[in-house]
Amino acid sequence: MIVKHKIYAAIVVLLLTAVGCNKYLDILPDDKPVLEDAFKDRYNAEKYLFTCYGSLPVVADPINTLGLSGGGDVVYDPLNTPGGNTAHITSTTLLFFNGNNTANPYMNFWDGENGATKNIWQGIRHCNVFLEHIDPEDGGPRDMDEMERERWIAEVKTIKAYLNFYLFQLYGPIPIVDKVIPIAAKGEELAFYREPVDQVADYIVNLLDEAIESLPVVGEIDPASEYGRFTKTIARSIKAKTLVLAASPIFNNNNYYLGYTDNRGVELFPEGDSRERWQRALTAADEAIRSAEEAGYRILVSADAGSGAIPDVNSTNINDTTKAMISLRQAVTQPWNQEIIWATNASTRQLQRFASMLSNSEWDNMAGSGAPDIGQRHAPTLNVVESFYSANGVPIEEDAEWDQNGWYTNRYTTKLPEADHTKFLIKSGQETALLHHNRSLRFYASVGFDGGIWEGRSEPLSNPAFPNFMRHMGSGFKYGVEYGFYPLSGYLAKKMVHLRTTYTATRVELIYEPYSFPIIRLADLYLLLAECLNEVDGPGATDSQGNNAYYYLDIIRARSGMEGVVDSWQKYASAPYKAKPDNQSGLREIIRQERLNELAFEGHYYYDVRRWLIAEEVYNQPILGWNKEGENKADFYTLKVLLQPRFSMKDYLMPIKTNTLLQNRNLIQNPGW
Amino acid sequence: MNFNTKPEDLQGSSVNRFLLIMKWIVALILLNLTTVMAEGVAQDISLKTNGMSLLQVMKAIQQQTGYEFFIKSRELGRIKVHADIDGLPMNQTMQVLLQDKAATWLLEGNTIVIKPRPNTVAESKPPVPVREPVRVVSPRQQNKITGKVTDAFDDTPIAGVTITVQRQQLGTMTDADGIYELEANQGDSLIFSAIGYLADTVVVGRVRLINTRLSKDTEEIEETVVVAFGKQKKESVVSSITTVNVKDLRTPSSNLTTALAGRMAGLVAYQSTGAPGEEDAQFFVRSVTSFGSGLTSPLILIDNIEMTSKDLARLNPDDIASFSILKDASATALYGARGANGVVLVTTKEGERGKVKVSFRHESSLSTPTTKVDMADPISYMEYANIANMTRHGELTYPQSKIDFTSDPNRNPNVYPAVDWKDMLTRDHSLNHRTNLNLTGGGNAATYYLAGSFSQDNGILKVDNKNPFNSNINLKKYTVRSNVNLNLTKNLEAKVRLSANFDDYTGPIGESGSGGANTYGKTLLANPVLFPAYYEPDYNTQYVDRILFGNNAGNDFGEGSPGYLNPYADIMRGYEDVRNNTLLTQLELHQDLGSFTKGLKARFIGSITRYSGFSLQRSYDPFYYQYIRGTYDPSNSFPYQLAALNPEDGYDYIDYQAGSKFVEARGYAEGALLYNRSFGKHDVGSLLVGSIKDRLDGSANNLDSSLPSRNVALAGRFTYGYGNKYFAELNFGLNGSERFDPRFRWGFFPSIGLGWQVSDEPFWDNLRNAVPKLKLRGTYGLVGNDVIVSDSDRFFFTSNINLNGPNAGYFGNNFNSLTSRPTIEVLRYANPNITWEVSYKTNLALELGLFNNDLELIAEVYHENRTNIVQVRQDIPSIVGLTSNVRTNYGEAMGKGLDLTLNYNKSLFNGMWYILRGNFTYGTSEITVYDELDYSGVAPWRSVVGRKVGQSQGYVAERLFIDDNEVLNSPVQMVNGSNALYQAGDIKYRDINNDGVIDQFDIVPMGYPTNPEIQYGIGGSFGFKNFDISAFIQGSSRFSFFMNASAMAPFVAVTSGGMRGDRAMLNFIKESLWTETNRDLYAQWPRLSPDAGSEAIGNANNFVNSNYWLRSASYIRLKSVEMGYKINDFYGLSPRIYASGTNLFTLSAFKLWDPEMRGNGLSYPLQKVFNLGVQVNF
Repeated sequence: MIVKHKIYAAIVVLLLTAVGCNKYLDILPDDKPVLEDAFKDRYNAEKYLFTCYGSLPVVADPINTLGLSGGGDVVYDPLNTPGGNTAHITSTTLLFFNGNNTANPYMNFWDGENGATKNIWQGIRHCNVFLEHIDPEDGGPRDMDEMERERWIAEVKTIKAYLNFYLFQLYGPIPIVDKVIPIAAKGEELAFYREPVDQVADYIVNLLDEAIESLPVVGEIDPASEYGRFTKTIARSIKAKTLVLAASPIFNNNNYYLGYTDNRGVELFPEGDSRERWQRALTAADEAIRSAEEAGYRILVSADAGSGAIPDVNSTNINDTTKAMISLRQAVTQPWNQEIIWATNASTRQLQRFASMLSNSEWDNMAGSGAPDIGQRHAPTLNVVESFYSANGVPIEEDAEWDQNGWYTNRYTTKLPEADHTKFLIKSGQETALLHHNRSLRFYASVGFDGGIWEGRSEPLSNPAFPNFMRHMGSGFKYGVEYGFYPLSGYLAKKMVHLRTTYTATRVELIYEPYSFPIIRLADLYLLLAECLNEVDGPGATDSQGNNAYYYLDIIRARSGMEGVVDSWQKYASAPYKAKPDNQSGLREIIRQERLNELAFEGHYYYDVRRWLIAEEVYNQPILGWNKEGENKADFYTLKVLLQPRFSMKDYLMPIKTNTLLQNRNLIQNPGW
Repeated sequence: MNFNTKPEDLQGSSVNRFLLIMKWIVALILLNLTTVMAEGVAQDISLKTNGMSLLQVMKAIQQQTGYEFFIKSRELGRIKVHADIDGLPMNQTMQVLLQDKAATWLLEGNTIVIKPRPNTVAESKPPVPVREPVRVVSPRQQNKITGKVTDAFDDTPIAGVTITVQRQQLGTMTDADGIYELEANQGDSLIFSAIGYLADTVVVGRVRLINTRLSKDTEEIEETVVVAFGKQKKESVVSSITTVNVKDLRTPSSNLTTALAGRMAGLVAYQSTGAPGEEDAQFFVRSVTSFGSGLTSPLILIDNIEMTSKDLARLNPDDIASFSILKDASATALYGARGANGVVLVTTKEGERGKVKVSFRHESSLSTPTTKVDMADPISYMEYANIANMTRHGELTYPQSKIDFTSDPNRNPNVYPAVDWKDMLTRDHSLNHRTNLNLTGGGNAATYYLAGSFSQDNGILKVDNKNPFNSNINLKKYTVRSNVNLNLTKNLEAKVRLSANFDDYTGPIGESGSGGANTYGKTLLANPVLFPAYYEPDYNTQYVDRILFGNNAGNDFGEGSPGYLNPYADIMRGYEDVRNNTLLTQLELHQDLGSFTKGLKARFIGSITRYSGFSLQRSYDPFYYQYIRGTYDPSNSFPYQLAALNPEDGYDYIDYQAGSKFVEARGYAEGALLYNRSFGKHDVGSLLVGSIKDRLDGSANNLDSSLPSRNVALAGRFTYGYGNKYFAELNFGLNGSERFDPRFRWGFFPSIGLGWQVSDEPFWDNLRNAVPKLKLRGTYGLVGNDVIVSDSDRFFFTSNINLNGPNAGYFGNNFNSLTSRPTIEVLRYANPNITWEVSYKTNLALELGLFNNDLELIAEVYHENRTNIVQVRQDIPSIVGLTSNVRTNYGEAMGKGLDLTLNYNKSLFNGMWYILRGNFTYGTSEITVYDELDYSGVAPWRSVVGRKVGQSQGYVAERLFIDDNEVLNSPVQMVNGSNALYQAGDIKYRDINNDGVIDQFDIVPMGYPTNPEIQYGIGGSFGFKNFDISAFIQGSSRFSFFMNASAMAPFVAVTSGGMRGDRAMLNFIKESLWTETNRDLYAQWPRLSPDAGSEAIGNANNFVNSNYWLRSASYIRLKSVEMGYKINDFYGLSPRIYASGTNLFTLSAFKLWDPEMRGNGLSYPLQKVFNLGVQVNF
């Protein structure tokens, strides 16, 4: 009896204690946010939509954008460790100078490491999470209309497609992750295989096809708040780029990758030459351009020097030279201009800072100012400079005039500018390399060189101090070492600097004008279409509008003041080259060079060189520049080998980090690594 | 309510009893104690023994008086006692009971300790069946000898000392004043013995007055062992517990943890910096067997309350009653939630009944570095800085003219400065004072222990009188402790413990708690030749009333703003007030429930601790100046011109800045039921304890860390002993932690232990003379650990989503108002499967007593299997796209080792004694399961399975590169993630996997673990009359460290507080250095480079972990020496004065600096301390 009482009492107490204890330990508040909260209402779901947008890789920052500083068209000095400043060698530079490796690859977008701004797979997961939660039956928001929901879904699918395309560009065959993988997944669930090139391309195209339906056209979106979000035209353009890549030599008839199979026995790279791929790409590019033109996109020809970007130039007094030079720069740096199909508003400050020059007075004021913003290191190589056309619109080595006058042979010698050059192109009295004379206006619009006039910078052309011009100082660019940086090759990528961007004269602070950095602009699509046409059927091929490759090339050339392709070669090329545009292979070269010239420094070179499978040729040339340390003109104009890169077949595709392969033995490394 | 129960009320009605229990439960568990009527405890004893055993008698006394008792051996317990006592006080009762018995007694705190009367052959003699006290019968006519027996330490009289004449069964005892009287012949030897003291023998001479002093036998204090949630008789303990002699912890340092190394078998400790205030030693119980993100340090309990290692460090050794470490599963199972890493258990002293006893101690100590930091002088600094810059960049840092002018003794020091910042701003010694005072005493109703201590630390900074305010360090620490025991009723005792620590700091900014180490660090960074600490005025500043602090703008002409570190200005520019405090209050109630069931007791403990602190800074912004190059004209009365570097930004009025503030609250409550009873030969004991613990951080910076940390535990122990020979013990802890998903919230951690007193077996009789004691014991069980990840990440079973992450989007064509939205960030994925880290521990021990028990040896071996160690999953590829890591309970590790303890006590002849103690700890561990990539076939040496926990790893350095050609023709070295530039004279690594690239796959294990595998200590004390000396030697071996080259690289620009410093050069670098003229391929330091960071030429390649920098060290050091002398009768007191020193001498193969500091030779050196003290007891 007593014992019983005791036991009951003990049990009651223990139970009370146990319940109390569990409560006592339950200290987490119930309303801690969980992932589902992100889809409770439209407002939060929109945040998730922006999260997906936010996972797009950065394309405008030269520090970590392969296209801007990793392509070998622009070089930075890795030894540049100026006194007092910590060195900021870009990972892209290290990659280009050192070559890549498998232990810890540079610009590792697969894992989001070592220079890569994003782990692309995280972005893909974001998209998958969004797509799996946005429908009302999956717990998605109920306070939004279905049209909008459809549009968001389409946008996220486009983001997902682009992220896959980005990996496809870098790695070729990639695993396809189309759903959210639970964190408890183990073993087989994580052992993904890479899928063959064609399947990856199809997957991307399918995603885009699904999205295009529900995406708005550009006229339907609010310019003030939505420019930069995906439209039908953008999605079609990405589709075109994807198919062009899949049709390009790197994945088309590339025997080096032949028989590259994984442990399932699946061949990851397609076999043989396929004209159908180009045909498919052509259709897609054609559709993208038709869609763009319908939406009102046009090649930009500036009528007013960019709304007074040069203070004393306006639509009434603009001349053809100014127009031609300004138009190209405006096509890139005028925000959301009529040529820009897709751009990002991500800051271009760093890019503009790096590509800007210091003017004479700024050099003089630099000492003692602290000079916080000196950039001037985004330096195009001499190799790229040489690839710009002559004033006649043909390559300098094919130009009959250059040949006859010995300009080509003597191009590294210097001379004073003649009168017709001094107004817009070269500062009078500035001796500069022959190479810098008699070039196409596109060259003068794109490249800053010693003695070259740097129009804009908020200075009127009529200002006696104008035009500012770029020069290496008395002691060479080395003088800049103490304060900041210097262009390794002696050139700067002027094109990427907005016309208004300049420095304050007193403290050498950058005053920069933001612009929307173009990811796809119409000229790019035209050049892609021209390439597809030529690849499908040579100069004779036509698109749905009956236009051939020449047609699209000539529109672009005309903007920069050049005559048509056929005419130019006919009139100005040396004899052996006059017929170059008439055959497929000649035209292929022309299209490629046109593309390099037109899109120079905009982030395409890195990908184009690889896509065309010409990197071994391009990168096994020594990278040339002038002697930045030269104390006088003669010293400065000494050719210098900046670097002898080594490029082999394996470098066409990025290596996958060894650890990643150890995690998953079903993944295989890219060929050669 | 009146809970007074009478002991006679054993037959009270069961209903009442039940109600009583309920009341008690209510009182204990719901903490609802309202009023307790205090009543004086009846101290007088009345009993009739009628031949009961001593054990039974003592139990009766315990019931009547509340005294605990402890009988040293079972024979003593069996002694039959005949006495009829009516209302005698306890001490008289005991005297009557034990008169002529083979036992003697002593009061230790609240415990009556009964031990054999020394040097009697009681065992061979049958108990004397007499009723009346035996008179001393003298067989012959002898001389009457009288005298006084006093404590050798403080000369207090000792009551109850047994004095026997050797080889005769004659004896007497001292009275309360220590006076004895007995008859003996000349030539007889008198043996003086008492519990707790070393016996002494005196030969009777012609003098009939024989006074003697007995020294405390410190070993006796260990007879009861403090175990988890209670005490146990030493011989019944089966688990692994090591107790340190508290006196050994008394070092001339205000940091207790620095005294731990080598003191206890099973405790591994080391100290890596000597910076005052930051010198907490790291310590581990046995080998570290966890390698995850979890906690590896032991649980620290002070008076049952979990405290921080900082609290332990601040504990005053004089206040400690016992200090032990619990090592195996049985000992720690009750602390299941946190016991896996071992437990440090400290109890503080409680009051002793009697007249007030005062103990006063004052110490002054001088500390100075154990090893001198040998720095290059300014001239060679410049020369080598030039070598470094020249060899890498082809440029000189300092023109030769500057070097030449600076070497000129008649130079103008303002123009050609050469500043020894360290010498200018710091001393190489500091003087500290400590004073402790404690009082104890009390009566029947209450006893008290009150202690206060005060210490003052003056730091190592030199005072400069140029400043308007005193910028020297003044760090005062006060601690107060009050332990009061109140006998509320006969059966209810309350203990109130209060302790408080206060730190008051005033001094230069940033030195709080560092005593000047911060400035010390800056003096090694400030450039010695760029500018003086301050300039003498030039023409323009001659009327400016301010200090013209030196600085440099980065160019020769002072154009720009000050960019360099001037430690002098940093000291001078202001001061800081810091106040930190810890307050602890604790209430304990101990209720004897013997009236309900014999042997049952209950206990409640409640405690609240608060930590808080703040700092305030008042400072000005110094005006900096720079000598303008080229203006020096010695013929001018103002021989140079200065440029003002910050004429606009500087100000010299005092401004205020708030510093950091912190608050933390902790609470603890415990209710326990204890039961101990003997039934004939069966000793049964049990303990059931429930506890809750709560911690709240008031300065949390996110939701997760703002939530309280909580533990709930129900723990129990059941002990059974048979005939004091066989012991069994079962323990369990049922622990709840807020850190786990409800499914895993509760962890159950049982353990079992067995003991066997072999030497008490009949078959041992023949061996007993040779080996008086042999005991075997062993335990096995589980212990848990819930602190497996950092506090801010502890809710891994829930996700951590940030719905307002960094904005993204930025859409639209208006750059002034782009449209963006916050992003959604997953900072942690919900992972409900994480559970307790569990340790399976086995402990086997052997206890031996030899040479008449003078030598005691305890040998223990242990094996531990740590499972469920939390690790980041390695198999989740990037493809999954997770934005944070996922963890699992994956890892396992095995630990094993050996602890040895050896004590030897001997008193030689009159007044001379010595004690030797030694301990030895060996512990090693091995990772048995580890979540890692499958390296098989790629780089199997990268796998850590089979390696020791904490094992070093690095690249294999072959030598230095001969020339740049060799660099070009050797495998590419990508040791730094990227292939940083390297040249001749840089370290050449071996391509282990022969793939032409040296990368992470070429990293191999090397050296020993970072924690020493072997640690040992040997201590000895020797006393003769008033003089005593003790010494302690400690050593560690089998550990490795990497010399931290990147933290020592000379000339490298280092930013400190936004200012640039150029690191000083350690002289050892010069002695063996690769230079272009001396291409020593095996130099101690590779080619110099002035660059830092991942892109630094050379350094980025050289400063990764490799065997080039690896040092496997072991050392042995004279850790402490103390000499004391006691002055007899000095104004009525007997002060003991003593001198001591710590870290006096070190032997090691590593010579560059103190090997205990490990890698960084520039960090604040360990200190050697010389100390003078005086202690007075009265």
